[in-house]
Amino acid sequence: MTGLALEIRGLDLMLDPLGRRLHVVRSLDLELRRGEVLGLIGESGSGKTMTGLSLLRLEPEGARLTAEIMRAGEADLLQSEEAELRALRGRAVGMIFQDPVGAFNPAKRIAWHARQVLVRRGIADWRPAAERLLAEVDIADTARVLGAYPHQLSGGMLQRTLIALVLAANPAVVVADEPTTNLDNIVEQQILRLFRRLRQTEDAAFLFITHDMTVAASLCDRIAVMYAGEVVEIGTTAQLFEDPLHPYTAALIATARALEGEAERLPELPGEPPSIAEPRTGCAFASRCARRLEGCTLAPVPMIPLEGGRRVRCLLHG
Amino acid sequence: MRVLTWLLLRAGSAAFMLLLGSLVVFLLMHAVPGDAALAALGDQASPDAIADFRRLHHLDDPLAMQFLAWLRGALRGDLGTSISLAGGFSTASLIAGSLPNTLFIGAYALLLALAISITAGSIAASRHGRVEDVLATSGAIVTISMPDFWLGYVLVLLFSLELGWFPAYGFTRPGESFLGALHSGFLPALAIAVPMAGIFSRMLRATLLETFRRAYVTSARVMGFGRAFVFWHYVFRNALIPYVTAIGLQARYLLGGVVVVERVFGVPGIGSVMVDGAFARDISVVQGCAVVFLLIVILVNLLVDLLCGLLDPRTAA
Repeated sequence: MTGLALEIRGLDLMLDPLGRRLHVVRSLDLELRRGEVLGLIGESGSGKTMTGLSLLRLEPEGARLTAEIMRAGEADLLQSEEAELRALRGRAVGMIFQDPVGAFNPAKRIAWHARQVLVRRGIADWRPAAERLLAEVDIADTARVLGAYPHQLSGGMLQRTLIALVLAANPAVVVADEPTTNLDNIVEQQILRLFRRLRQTEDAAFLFITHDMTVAASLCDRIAVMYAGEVVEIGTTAQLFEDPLHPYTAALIATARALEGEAERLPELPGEPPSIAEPRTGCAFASRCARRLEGCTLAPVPMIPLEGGRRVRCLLHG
Repeated sequence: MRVLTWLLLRAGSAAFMLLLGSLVVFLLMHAVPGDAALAALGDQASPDAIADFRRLHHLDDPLAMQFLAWLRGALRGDLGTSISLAGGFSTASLIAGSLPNTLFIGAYALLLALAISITAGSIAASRHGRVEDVLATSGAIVTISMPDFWLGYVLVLLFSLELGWFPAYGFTRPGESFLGALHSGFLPALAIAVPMAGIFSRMLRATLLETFRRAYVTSARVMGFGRAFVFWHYVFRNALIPYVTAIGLQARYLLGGVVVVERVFGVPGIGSVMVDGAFARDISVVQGCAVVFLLIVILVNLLVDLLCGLLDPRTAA
């Protein structure tokens, strides 16, 4: 027993669409304690969602997933039996999505969804349990919500409902994949407030995937920055914001500050991330990095452990 | 209230389509070469006999008068009298005698096509890109390419003449013996069903594959629901809506198939009545049959819309 809610060591995910091998997650290490919120931040295509789906072992068909360790609570996620994995889904790791409307079966009422989840958990008398769960995510009119079809409810209401259904199974880890991106600003604030409260009351640890540094800063204890399939820096939110070590982290934070009006001009990062299809020799960020060293493009850069549990994948700090 | 308005609108548009359709058929029958009197009396008939025939059946009246006369009768339920069949059979009685057979064959074919396509389409979609998918998809292309009358003769060769399982010709009316009708109607129904099943299964496969990619399918799997449960309640259930709509659009092909296949198998259906009527330039018979066909298509589309409303809570009134 490690006491960790989530432990990942050396996760690699290789997709194979039409014979083109895409290395979408590369030697990824993450750990999460109970009650902790870890932000996983990065731009589109950096491998955040694929990391989340890997935790549920819902990687795309034909993908090759390898890892030294991948555990959630007591459960070993490196099983190969589909039946075992199915039993773990929802219970060991739950997941909330970006588009709450799309996450529900459009042909069925909310009550149907609640019944499926709760009866599966062995709660035969599901209706009072469902009302209790919805009340916990601040839904007042539980009877109306249960009787409604998904299209009759707002995005914020559906996201709350989905959170309630996911938490119903008491998962060790909840992956929240950009859960507020599709919501308007006021609803986003409400959902973030809900997360802040749930982290106190629930046993679960949260992996909060986002591309929004501001959102991550307002919610997360620690932040892991992903770039082109790799975690390039991980540390506490305060560490990252006060003293970003990786040039990419520094660029992200500069942009976030600029968007909040703390800078005159919006800083721009020249270039594009490297292709995930091509083999990589050195640091993924090297081509865009202003502080590139000679060694950066010669060999893969390892994750360098620093004081206070901080890690960075950058030769400037080796 | 919304339902009532909707029904009134649908009834109104149906009446308009029936009127327009019967007018088009009427004009077409007059536009094609050939003459009802010549067809009925033969080449050797005297000019007097032909003139008498034309007068008797008002064939020399202005077209507008003829159409209005037909319409007046039709509104009272009188679809006119066959001028080609001796004995003055009313068109209505010809239709009443043959329509049940056609409806039986049509429904039979539709059920077979549904059964085949749901099985093949589901297997193909859930085994996407594998052997089963390739077999089902290429099988569908082959069956779509088969003309139904040709397939009819092939089925007769195989199942009647070679194996002797089904009669090659003739049809037991469902009123006489339902089991007999199921038996004797199997080959004609299958000849119509197989090409349709090809189209249906490809449509179902496509909508299933699209539904598989929906976020709610991933969401359901995240909840730990089993594959069969997710397929049935999430994928199939939601793919059913576009599938049913697409089937509604094929209703006219079903009728077209019935008309042709009835000839091949000697089923005394409305298709045979209509084809005989067309050869004899028997306007009232062709007109009556066309109106019935039109009515069937309108009713099928209405049924499909109602069914979709039931299946999709978002369109429910």
